[in-house]
Amino acid sequence: MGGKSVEHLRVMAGNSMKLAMLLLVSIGAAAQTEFTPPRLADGHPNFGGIWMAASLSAAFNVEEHGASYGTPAGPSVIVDPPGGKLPYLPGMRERAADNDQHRERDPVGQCHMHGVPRVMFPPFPLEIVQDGNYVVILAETEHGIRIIPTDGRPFLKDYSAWNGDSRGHWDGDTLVVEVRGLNGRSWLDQAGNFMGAGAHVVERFRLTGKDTLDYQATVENPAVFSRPFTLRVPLRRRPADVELLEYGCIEGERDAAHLPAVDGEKK
Amino acid sequence: MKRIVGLLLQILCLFGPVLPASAHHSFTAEFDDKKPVKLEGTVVRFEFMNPHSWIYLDVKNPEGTVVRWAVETGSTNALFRRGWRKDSLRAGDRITVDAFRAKDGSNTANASTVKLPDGRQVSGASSRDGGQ
Repeated sequence: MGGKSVEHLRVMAGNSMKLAMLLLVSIGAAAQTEFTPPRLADGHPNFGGIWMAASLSAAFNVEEHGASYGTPAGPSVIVDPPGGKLPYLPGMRERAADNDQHRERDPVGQCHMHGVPRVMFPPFPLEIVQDGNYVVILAETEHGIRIIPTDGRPFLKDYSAWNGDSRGHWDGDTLVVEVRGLNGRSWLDQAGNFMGAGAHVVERFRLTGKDTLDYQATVENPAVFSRPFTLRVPLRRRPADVELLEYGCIEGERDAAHLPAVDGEKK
Repeated sequence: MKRIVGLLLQILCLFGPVLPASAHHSFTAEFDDKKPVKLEGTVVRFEFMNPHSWIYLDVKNPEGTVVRWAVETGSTNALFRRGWRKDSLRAGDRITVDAFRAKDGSNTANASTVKLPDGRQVSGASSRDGGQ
């Protein structure tokens, strides 16, 4: 086949893909406006069920990335700022790149909690249960439990933890969760993108279909980023036969002996 | 309309989730995908646990001596969802493992596929594949 024919086919394939993606986006938008969520007795949408990120791309790297050693290619999940890049302060992107070269530093690899927002898109399922006073997110991995009161109670004072302290309220059919008290040690993904001290996260959860839960998180962290950024990861309902399983992380963790020392710690 | 639905389904398949892959830790933190190794040996012990299950395997090298390997697979959860069970491997089973060696040069490897005694070839739910 001649070069021109190949090029012609490439253009055709590219155009078909764009058309199909446009059609998908249109269908998605239509579904969003027409969809009426199932509701609990209190009138709020029922998010109950087992969910998992529709794509594992964000777990590997929240920014656009090509296929590399152990990582499939994927698009950026950063929807703001435009361009899909994390708005690192000068010097911080270099720190992330250094983390990428030293993935043994990843807190999750050492059985620590994922931290918000990473806990919402690991390559393991999570379950949401709720009543009129709480939305509870049970993450299989590391047995992460997020208890999110929606009854208007105040934040804990001077608290610090991997997943911080969450408080939720409803904005129409959207659950808005504010997270404070994050310990500043979490990574955002396996590629070494990271958060620092003083981070403040606002999450938005909204059912966009029977089996699709839209998740967005806006992170404000002036110690690391020049401006807030927002990531978006659609979650997909897992089939009815999927249930959460135990995840005793320390039990079978035998990797440490084969990893370089982390931050100068002696092995 | 049928053609459009067919096209959409194909695209959804292309962009759908890569399921399920696991990654408790990044593959690259410990293993080297430029060092593939095929291990044929006898199972000594199978530890079905999180965040990784481990197969301990005695492998006879060309000199005739026996070397014990520790082969990492995915978590119990990842393996269970792929059809593995606690007794999928028993001491004495002869298996073949395609894996990647640890960077530190020890007899440790990360399994991509395991050929079971009954001839079935199953995924090791490697952290290299993303894991779940």
